[in-house]
Amino acid sequence: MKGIPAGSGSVAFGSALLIKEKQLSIDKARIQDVDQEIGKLRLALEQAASTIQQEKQGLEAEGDAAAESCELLEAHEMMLLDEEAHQKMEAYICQNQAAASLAADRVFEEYKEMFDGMEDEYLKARAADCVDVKNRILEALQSGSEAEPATDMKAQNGPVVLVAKELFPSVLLSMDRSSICGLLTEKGSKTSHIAILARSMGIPAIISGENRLNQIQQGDEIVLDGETGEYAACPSKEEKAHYEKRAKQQQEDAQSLQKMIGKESVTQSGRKVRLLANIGSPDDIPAAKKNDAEGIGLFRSEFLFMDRPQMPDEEEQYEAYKAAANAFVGKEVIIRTLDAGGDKNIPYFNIPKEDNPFLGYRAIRLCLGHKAMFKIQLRALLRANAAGNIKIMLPLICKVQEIQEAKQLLQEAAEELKVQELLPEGAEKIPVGIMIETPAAVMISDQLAKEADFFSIGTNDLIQYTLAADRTNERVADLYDLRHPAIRRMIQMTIENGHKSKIPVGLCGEAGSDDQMLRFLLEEHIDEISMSPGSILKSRAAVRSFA
Amino acid sequence: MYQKEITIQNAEGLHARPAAAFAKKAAEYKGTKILVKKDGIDANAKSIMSILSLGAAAGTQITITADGPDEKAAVEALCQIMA
Repeated sequence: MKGIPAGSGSVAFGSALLIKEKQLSIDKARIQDVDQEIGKLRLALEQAASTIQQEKQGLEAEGDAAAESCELLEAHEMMLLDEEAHQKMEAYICQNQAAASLAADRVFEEYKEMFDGMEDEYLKARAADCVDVKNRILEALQSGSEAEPATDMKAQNGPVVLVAKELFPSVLLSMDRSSICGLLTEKGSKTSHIAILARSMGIPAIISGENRLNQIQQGDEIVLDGETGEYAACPSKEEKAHYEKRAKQQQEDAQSLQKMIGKESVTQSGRKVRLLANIGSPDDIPAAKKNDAEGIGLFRSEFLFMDRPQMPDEEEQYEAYKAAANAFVGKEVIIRTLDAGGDKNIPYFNIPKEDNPFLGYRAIRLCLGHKAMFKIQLRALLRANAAGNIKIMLPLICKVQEIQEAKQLLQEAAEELKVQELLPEGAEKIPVGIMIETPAAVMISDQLAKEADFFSIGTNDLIQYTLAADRTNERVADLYDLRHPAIRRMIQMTIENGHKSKIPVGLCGEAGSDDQMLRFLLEEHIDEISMSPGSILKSRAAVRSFA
Repeated sequence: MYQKEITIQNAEGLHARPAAAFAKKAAEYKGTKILVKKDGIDANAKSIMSILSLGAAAGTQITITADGPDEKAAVEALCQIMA
């Protein structure tokens, strides 16, 4: 069976612990004594708050790894203790002679709907928190009347896999987590809190899809493969052997990859290459550091602009770029200017719908068409360049004039900042390079090399434009091929022309995690390769094994 | 009554952590009624749910109004959080 992997990538074995959906009853009958009901509600809120307090203390003892979970609990605590929510619930009880459970249900359902309807992704996610907080209140209301049949973990021997239709953080956090080795749920997503919790606990979580887990019995043996999303209940001998082998392999790989930290990326004959990290925001810096990146080869600045109602101001951009620059002092940090449009729509630019967005108004075209916005980004980049290690990279270049126009704007921005005394010393010497991702750029790479300070080959777009194969269209997926001879020739030509003008040539994309491609790039004397942080150590091991 | 109009400078707007910090601060002024106004809608400054429901992003104009013994101190302290 296969589901969506949402937690850590490890393989886990454990026995099934079924988490039944809580039967939280809501009393719909009219009540007689309003004051007594309000008293019950207040008591339940106090109880629920003290449960959160206990969970928080437990987490604090676990240290930094639990920081994210702690923040989540704090959010729940604030919602639970919210003055407005209290007033609303009490008013509901008074006006409708309603039971406390009904009031809690109605008020938090209303909040949930409000958050559900919001555009902002962060606020939308608060809807799930409302449900969790509501359940906490209902539970506290119930525990007064009957003893809570707590899920008995002690009866289980060894590690357990929690199996449930849907898991809420409050359930997970109220358990002894040391014996939980994995989660298997029908509902959820990679961005749900439960997935985030699983990742911070370092355990796999697999989302199976609706009605897939009905057959699993309490105590059944479960195996999860957090990397592929495969799972099995009561595995056969052969299946078990297969997963055991995978687990062993993973352990060995992880150990041998750790040995690559601090080593040079050099072949046995002494050819060196720099292996850099692709990042989308300062949040990815720790992963880049942990995997020993030799700098940042691609900071996709568009992620700062997406999923929000308006563009980030100069200050916010400055902070983000500065964080990356400061994390890699003495190493290069290549920041790509806004690459919006195509499949990355940004609503507040109000770009009319296009028939061919990949051939449309996007990337550098959009930036040069919105000069005021572009200048804010360039100003933030210049200001962040105090350590002198930032490099600017322009996406989707097709003409020499595009580079010249961008450089002109950069110069204006630098002059403005100088007058305002905001320009760090020497920051204006910031190198400006370009992405080579259109066949046009490859064909005139000799001319572009005279205007650009470096090249970076962007394989994703270069492949789709060269082979006329939309990378989001599954029916032409077989054409979208990194190893096509046309792509190889494009890469060869770009490197050759770059080196003729004595500028470095890199490549960003997952090509680096393909051994055969990696070998080819090294033979062609590529200077650097940028990839997702998790691929760096593996690529370094491959490079070091080459002759 | 004391009130002040400010533009939210905080990059995240009145979301997440700033909203929590804002509500916590407001709750310190127990006897004082504090409101946050945006586009004619009032929110209770002491309630995180109420504040979040405004969906106020960075750059939005809000008015903070307080009525009670600590009205001036409350408004000034809250303005500082958003500046």
